[in-house]
Amino acid sequence: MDLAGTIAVRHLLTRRRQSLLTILGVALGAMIMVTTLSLTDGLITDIEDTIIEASPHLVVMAEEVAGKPERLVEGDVVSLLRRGKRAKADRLKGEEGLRRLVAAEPGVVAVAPFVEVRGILRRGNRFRPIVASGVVPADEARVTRVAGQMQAGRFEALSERREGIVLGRLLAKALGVGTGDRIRMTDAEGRVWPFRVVGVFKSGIKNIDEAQAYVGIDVARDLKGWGPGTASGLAARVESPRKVAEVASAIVARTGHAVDTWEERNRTIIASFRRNNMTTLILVVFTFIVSGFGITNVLNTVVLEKVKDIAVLKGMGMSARAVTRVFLIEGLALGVVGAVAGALLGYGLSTLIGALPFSYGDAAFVQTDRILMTQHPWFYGLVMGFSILLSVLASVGPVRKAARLIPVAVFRGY
Amino acid sequence: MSLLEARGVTKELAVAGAPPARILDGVSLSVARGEFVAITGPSGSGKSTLLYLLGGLDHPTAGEILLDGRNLAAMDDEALTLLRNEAIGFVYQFHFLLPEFTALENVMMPILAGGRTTRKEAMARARDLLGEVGLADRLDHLPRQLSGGQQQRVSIARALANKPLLLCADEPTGNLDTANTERIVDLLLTLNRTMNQTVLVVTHEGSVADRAGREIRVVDGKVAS
Ligand SMILES: Nc1ncnc2c1ncn2[C@@H]1O[C@H](COP(=O)(O)OP(=O)(O)OP(=O)(O)O)[C@@H](O)[C@H]1O
Ligand SMILES: [Mg+2]
Repeated sequence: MDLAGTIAVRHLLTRRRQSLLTILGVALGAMIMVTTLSLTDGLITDIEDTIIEASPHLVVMAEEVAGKPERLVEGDVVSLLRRGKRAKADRLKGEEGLRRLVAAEPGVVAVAPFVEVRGILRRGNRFRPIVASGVVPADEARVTRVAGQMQAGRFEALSERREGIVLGRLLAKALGVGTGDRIRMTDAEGRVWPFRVVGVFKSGIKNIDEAQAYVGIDVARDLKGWGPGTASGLAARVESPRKVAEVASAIVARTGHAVDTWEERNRTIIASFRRNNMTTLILVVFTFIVSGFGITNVLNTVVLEKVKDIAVLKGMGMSARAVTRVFLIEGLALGVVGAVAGALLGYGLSTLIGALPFSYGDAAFVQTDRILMTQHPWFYGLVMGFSILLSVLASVGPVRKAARLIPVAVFRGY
Repeated sequence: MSLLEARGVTKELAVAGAPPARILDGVSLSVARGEFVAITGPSGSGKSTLLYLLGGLDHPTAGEILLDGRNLAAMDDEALTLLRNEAIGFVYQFHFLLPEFTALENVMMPILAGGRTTRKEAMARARDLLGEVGLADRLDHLPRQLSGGQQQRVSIARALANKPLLLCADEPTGNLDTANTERIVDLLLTLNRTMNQTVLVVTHEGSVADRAGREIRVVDGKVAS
């Protein structure tokens, strides 16, 4: 190490207590930053993952759009096309042809027809409005994760029992029913249909778990008075859910049918979570900046205390540049050591938080039993970069004071 | 040709609410290589001011200061800093050693600041110098583990680290008792005699001035003849 580095290290080592406290301050800032990044990014990922798997990635609707789109740009195109829809059809006839067309689209993994039924479920004196999807269980299992999200019973039982019904977790809870229980559904015309609960699922999304039910597609057609080969729409699973808009545009272009995606349906809720995360991050950045003042504080003290030493060093011919290096190294050492320690602590803390059981409760939008904490290298890159920037900024004042010091002014008190 | 030559050196200092005070007024002097010169005079006469100017630590208001033919008065801070490192050693009234560093490290410092030799050579040179000032057995002591006289001897060794053309000392014995004062003066005289080291000492002690080869008396900012 050169002279400047040696002097810097000695300065910090001789005032060990203050150095450690400053490092601790920076470390806490860095730890909070890493943990918050992990938490907020995890929350968004968790919400998106849950939303993505709670309902079909995309739905091809019976409605047809006006004309063929001129340009296929992702994102806004779909909503634009939906606005310009023409036919107000409520059902697809001969859904199989359209199903083959959609299934052939690149990026589409599986397609399943569904018939949507609205009604009121009743058990004793409790009742709840619901949306029931009439599905072919084996097809639906390839499109959504519902078959794997069963908390009780089996999803496939829908195909074994004509009057079988699968309920969302919160819906079953509200009605006070479990598998094997009888339940009645009143449809829009006031007719009453008997069902028997064959399963309970949990998607993790409150709105779905408290209002969604599944029945067999034939029963749903009977309820609607529709014939075979009809459907309300087609649900599809895509390879890359986060690029669903591209596939949707392509399907609109090819089939002329309006398409709804998970992204479209949840645009506002995801945007609001993102906004909240941004606010949190800004607050965290401020915390970090406060810890930067600790660095300025130490350096100011050292420079003030070492005025004579600096004068002597300059007197013996140490250049202003070398003096600058002494204090810049001190500031960087405090900042970087603090940030590395903080990053490690942050890794530990976020891993710990991620391992603890936790529930936001039944009232929350997303229903989980763990807080998802994500880890990305860029968290750490950001924290390191930020702390280096912060230490340099914090050092500027004291460093300039030291570099500009005129030795004779110190010795003679000019 | 003389090693050091001052011609009409004047120093004025701004004093708040008053016209600038003239501390030095047209000082001219010359010091030959290998001389031992004592600068004496009453308190407040301008001795320290003169020494700081001759030692390249301050800029004169007017006049020329030539060290080995180079005019210090015309140099900027950066050039002066380099010159101080290469050609001038300074000993202050207080030792001003860096408290976190051992005697050896303190003596190595001007050599490392210059960056012209390896660390190993710097260490060897510092060890030799500390031997010459009689501190071969105190290399690894911190300044606070040394006596006042020892501290001042370390700072003399430090001033000699880069083999300066000129060694300046501003009342180096001001804080020492008689025995230690004798010892420091002996040391400076020995350096002068055995190594032909040019020495400039500011002192108000007659005993020191008596042993110097020449005395320059400063009175009221002027050289008294
Ligand atoms: N910062 C300053 N501003 C104005 N005048 C000053 C300043 N420093 C010193 N002086 C004046 O300059 C004059 C010379 O000071 P200097 O320190 O050179 O004297 P000196 O001969 O070394 O005295 P001493 O023997 O007491 O050390 C003094 O009259 C002093 O009052
Ligand atoms: Mg003086």
